Amino acid sequence: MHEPAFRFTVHPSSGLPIYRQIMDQVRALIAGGHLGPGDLLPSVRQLAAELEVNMMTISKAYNRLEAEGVIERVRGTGMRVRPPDARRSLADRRDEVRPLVEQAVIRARQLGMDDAQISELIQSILKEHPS
Amino acid sequence: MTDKAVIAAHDVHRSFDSGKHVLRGVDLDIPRGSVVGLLGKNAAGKSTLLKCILGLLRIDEGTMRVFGEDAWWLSAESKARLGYVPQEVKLYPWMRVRQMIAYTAAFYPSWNSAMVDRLVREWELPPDDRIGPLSVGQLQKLAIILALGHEPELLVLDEPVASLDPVARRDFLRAILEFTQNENRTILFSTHITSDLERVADRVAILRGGRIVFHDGLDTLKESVKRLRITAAEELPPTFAVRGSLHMEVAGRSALVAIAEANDRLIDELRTQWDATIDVEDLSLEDIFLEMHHVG
Amino acid sequence: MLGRQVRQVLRVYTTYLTFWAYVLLWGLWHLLYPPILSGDFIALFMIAFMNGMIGAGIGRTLGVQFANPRARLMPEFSTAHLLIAGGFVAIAVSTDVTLALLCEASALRVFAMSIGAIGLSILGTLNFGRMKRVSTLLWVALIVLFCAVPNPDESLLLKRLVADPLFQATFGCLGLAAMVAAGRQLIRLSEDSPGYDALDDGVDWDRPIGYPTSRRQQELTKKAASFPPNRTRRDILFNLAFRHMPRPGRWRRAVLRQVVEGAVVLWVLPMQTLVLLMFLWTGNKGSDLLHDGDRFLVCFVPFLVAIGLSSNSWTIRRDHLARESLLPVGRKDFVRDMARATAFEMWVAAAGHCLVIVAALALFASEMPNAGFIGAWLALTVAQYFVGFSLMSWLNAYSPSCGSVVAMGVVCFAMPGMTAAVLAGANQGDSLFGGTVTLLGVAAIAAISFGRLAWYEWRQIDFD
Repeated sequence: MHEPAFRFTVHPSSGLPIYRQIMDQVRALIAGGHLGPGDLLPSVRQLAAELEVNMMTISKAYNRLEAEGVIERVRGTGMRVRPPDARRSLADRRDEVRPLVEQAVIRARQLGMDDAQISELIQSILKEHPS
Repeated sequence: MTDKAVIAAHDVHRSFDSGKHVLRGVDLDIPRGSVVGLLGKNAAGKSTLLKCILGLLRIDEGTMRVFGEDAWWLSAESKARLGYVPQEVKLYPWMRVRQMIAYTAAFYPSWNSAMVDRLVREWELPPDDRIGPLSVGQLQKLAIILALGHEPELLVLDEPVASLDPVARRDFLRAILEFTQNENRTILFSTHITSDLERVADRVAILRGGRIVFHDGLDTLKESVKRLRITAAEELPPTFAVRGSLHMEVAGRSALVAIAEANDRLIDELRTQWDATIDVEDLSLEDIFLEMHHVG
Repeated sequence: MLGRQVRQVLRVYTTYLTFWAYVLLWGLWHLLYPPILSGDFIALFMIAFMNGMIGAGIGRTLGVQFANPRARLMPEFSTAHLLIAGGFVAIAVSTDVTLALLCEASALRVFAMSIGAIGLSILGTLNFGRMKRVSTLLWVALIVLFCAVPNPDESLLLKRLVADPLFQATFGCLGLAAMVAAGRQLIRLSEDSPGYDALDDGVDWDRPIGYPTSRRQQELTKKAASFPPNRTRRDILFNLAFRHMPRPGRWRRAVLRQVVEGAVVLWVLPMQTLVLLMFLWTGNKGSDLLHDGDRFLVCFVPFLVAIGLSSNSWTIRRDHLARESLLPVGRKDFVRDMARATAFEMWVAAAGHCLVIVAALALFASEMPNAGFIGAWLALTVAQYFVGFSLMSWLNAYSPSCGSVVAMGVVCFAMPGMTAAVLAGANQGDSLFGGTVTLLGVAAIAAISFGRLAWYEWRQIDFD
């Protein structure tokens, strides 16, 4: 088994439950390209020992990620990152982003920005993060 | 025997001769394989509850069952499946660490000497020293080892880390995590150190006013208790109230509200009712504990 | 200012359970004074013994109070404590002197004996931890000295104590000097002083009502630091017990319990033997060895030993109840284990007692009394041990209340009193059989009823 080139860190005292922190980090690692399709995640036992947290917490995070279709269970091997295209429909993904954008738009309105200014802002942010 | 609940307490009351009514109807079911942290203020009755569970204290009313048996009349077989680390460790001061271990082992039908020896080594306990001169922290380590030696199915710890230094606390947490790898084992511990609890516990029980006011998953607790930072368009009236709030501070147009069960609908309602912007803040267990006890 | 402190200090003392036990014992003891003060030797012995006990009590309490950071940090601490201690001494001595005046005995003699015994005893107790071996040897030597005098009235030391005013005055002054020395020692006490840690040894069993257990734990820990690093008697016992008892079972539990608790009864036996021998030796050496004056005292010894023994092992056991009750033994079996352990100690003590009686009869009696008398004496002795055992089992489980203390007082004085009466009657030719059987019946009823009460309470008590 290869040594993973990344490390998880958790902050038990943060307000976010530990399993969510792990889920977020797995997502971030995938988004950042540190984890590619087919890469194996550390085993539940291994990660629990490394982070010194309850095993249930880790398996909860993995189960949620599996349900979301980010990773898949491979019998006898562990958890593997799924290829992105097979993951979810566009509608699904749009649903997830929608509340975030909506909140931003509401705040912008409250600050008195008009439609043109808001779309200009979004365009400029899109330029800063080319796909 | 009920399969799931290792500990089943129903409407447990206990008062003391001094007239203090400490437990006033405790209901608590602890499922097999869970790691439960028991939280409560000083003198909330945590130790009393743990002692009632172990049959050290007799309950006045209600039922208390451990492994399906009445806690007061626990059989020898059930006691062999039970481990306890008290808040104050009382051992025979003249004995050596090694002898104390041998003495305790002599009473149990099975004893994992290999594990005990390893823990004694790892936790740097001097096996040939007398128990008397040991420091409080060392005593606590020894008590933990003695409670783990027979590999109990239920481990009850009363503030196990109170007198341990940070290094020893980590060692202890590691031992507990290792211990829970077997899914048959259940741990119930009381503590003040919420950060430790957040690491190892999967469930939290909060004891307040002699009752269990919350008992559920730690994640559920963290996800449901939130602090809302509300900024309304206009001055908030003195009658301003939020359903299910634990604690509230209102000043002019803004309010800080801790609520027990945060959900999107409630937040949306507030947002439209007061034409407000609302920031939802996550809370650490310590913050939640403080909010629940109306402090800060 | 000082007045308020004195009141507070007085409160500290009066919250000690032991304090009230002392007061009770002291009061009861003084009931025996008037008939006995006329006798020279017994009077001296009793005054010395009781005042020695009081001195030991005061010395230990003072030691506990002063071997504490508080003593040096609080203003007027020593003044208030020494004033109170002085008050207790004054009360004890003046009561003895008043009784002596009422009974028309020599007031100077009683005064000197009281103050001498208290003073020396306070100083001795304060330094006991430092010179454990020396003090123990002194005590044993003193008892042996008393025993070894063929005719106490003729021994030089006792004769002079009884008769010589100059000698008495000197003894009294010695006591006063010892008190001053003890006071000086206490005021100057610091953590560097030798024997500082040993001073609060007493806390282990002399605990105030509601004493916080966390502090007790610290003190126990500190105290235990004096345990020797080398092999001790108990280590050897422990190894033996482990080598030869392979399977868990009630016998193994019983043996292991005796080992870990240090087999208190083995320490009590020599003491018991010495005291009994002393009483039996100094009697009038008739065929039954029982002098009229101390027949009651001899018959009182079983209760003294039974109470001392069971309360001693109970104080050791109490701290470990929670942990030991969780060892894999059912609650009823655990209670039986505890009863078995105490009963075992009682059997040993009773057997030792009987042996001493028989040995003393064989050695000292002018002629061997008939078998019936010996049998009755031994049977009544054993019966008393068992009433004591069940009474104490009950009291240990049951938090002491006014009623239980009265019950204990009544039983403790009634049983020896009746025993003494039966034995005295036999001496005068009364029928021994009827009295003995009646008394054995009473003892059996008492033992069984206290035993049932104890069994009931033990199943109910919190093992915490």
